[in-house]
Amino acid sequence: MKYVCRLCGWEYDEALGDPENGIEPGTKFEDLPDDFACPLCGAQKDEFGEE
Amino acid sequence: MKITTDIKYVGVNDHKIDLFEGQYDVPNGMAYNSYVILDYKIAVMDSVDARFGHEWLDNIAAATGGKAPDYLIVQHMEPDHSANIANFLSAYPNATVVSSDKAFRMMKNFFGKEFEDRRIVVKEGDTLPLGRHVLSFVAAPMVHWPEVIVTYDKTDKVLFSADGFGKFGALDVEEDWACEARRYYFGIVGKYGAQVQALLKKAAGLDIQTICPLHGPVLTENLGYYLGLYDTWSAYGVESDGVMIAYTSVYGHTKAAVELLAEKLKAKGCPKVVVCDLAREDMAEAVEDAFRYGKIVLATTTYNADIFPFMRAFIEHLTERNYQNRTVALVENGSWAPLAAKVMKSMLEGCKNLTILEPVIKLNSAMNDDTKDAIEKVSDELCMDYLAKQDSTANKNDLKALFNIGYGLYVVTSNDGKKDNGLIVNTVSQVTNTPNRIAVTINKQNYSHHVIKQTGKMNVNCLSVDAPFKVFEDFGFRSGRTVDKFEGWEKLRSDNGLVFLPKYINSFMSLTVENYVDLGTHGMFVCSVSEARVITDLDTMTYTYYQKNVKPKPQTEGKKGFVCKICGYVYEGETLPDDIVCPLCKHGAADFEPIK
Repeated sequence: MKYVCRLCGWEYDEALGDPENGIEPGTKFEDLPDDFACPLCGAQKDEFGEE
Repeated sequence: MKITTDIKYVGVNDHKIDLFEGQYDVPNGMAYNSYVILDYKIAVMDSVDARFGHEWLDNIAAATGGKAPDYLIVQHMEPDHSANIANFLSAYPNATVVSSDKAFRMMKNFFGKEFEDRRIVVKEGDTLPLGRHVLSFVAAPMVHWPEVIVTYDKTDKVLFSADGFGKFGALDVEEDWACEARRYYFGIVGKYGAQVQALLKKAAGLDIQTICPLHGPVLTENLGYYLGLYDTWSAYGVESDGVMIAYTSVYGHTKAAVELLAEKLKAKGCPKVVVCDLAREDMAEAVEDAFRYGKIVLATTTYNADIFPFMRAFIEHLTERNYQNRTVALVENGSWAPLAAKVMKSMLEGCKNLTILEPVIKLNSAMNDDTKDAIEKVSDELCMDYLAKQDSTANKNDLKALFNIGYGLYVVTSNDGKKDNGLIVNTVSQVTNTPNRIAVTINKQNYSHHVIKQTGKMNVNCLSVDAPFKVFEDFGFRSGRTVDKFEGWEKLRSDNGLVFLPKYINSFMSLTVENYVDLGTHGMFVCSVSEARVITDLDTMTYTYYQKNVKPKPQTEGKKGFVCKICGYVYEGETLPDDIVCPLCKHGAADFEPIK
């Protein structure tokens, strides 16, 4: 499942995770920490939507 | 215009534009700024709006004395700055474009070209040497577009801030900075407070003496002032004290209520009251004022089972920009099926930290006595702090101030030789630390006071935020002379033989009484500490926390009389006896309030 940052367009792919920021591949979007921020623009989880 | 010896201004003024960014009225026009840095290599910062290409290219030629620039730095792709990129590259076939990866992809979308053969892609931390000057690039994503970079020249200590620190108004018009900068900021960048905060944090690490934005004047002095405003704005802080009233009124009735409210606010000491007719005044100015002040009033009429369109648009402008941290009062008009307040409340639901005042001021077509009553109450609420600070209007005998002293909550245990006892106390403080002395004050009516006066020892257990109401029922609402308060509790003992609680406490202290002070109704025990243990990391429960989260709502439905604010005991009757002592928790008449 892919999620897109509605502010800047950065894509979170659950299969790939975000290892540079400590998120293992396969981490589901709802399991991301509450204070997760888009690595490009800093947007919070509530600014993300399903692709 | 010269900014430093090597940095020159080559931007243009636009007095023909009708709406900036397709929506903003700009009575004093607009400036599109661009700068040239003259060094061993020559760099041009951004381009200008489509209609000014020739003027801009002429400015560049004049600034460089005819020499061809080497670089075009593109910080931002919005067309008012990027429209002449291709023209520049045609005029200067040997120039290189320097920009972010995202920006080049936007160039492909805008111009059909990405300039792969003549470009340098830069990201956060990259540098570009020009000779004496070295430019470093800082990413500013979503300030206010995703591709934005800002540029810092370490040599002249200049920050090229892209759209940050800009304002409406051409540079050949004298006007106050803050007003048009604020309207510009909240209109264009307002949604991106978090991203602006991130950029300000990065900028704090740079020695900046001049700010060169893409709109508005170059800022050279007193930069703390501009940075301070940007910090307040982007943190959604309140900039100015006062009340802003935004209204729509079709035939003047809602307007009359608004005018009466404004009058009351001014009379009650409100330092600034701003009233805005959303249909007739500049919407972007209304938005600016809503963010400037900390208290707003929204007044509108029910319309098509929704709210009047200008108010809907206004509230959407606010919520889109993450409106938060403020107090809102509502005025609703409805001639047959009033819905306005409900709709406004639901539109504001997602806003963080917004306090919606009660009562809602209501009109059924026109003001009546109930409306005026509500206006009086709301104006008191909005002006509460102004009234209290003004010598002529302050209630100087408002003993409710004493309720704001603030306390933790403690179970104080003792033993009368035959059995263990405990009670709830809030009056515990450390009074000195060389040596450590803790003062515990207990009502003489409590059995524990008698026990401790005789035995000279007690344990003070600090209740943590997880303590349930049962703790207060067991230790606070019964007398230990007759009842075994510890029935059902596991009893752990400290070295002095007294009980400490097995749960719901974050620490306890064993105290030995060193001095006793007779306070009439209470006795104060001033004690040394013989044992002290920290049990958990949870916070201590405050009295406020207990009132808000633990004390259950009193059973007052259908009853006439008074309710004890401490424990919920209901006294039924016409009048409350002055000397009443709550049978449950021993508090007096001052802690009772009428059942509404």
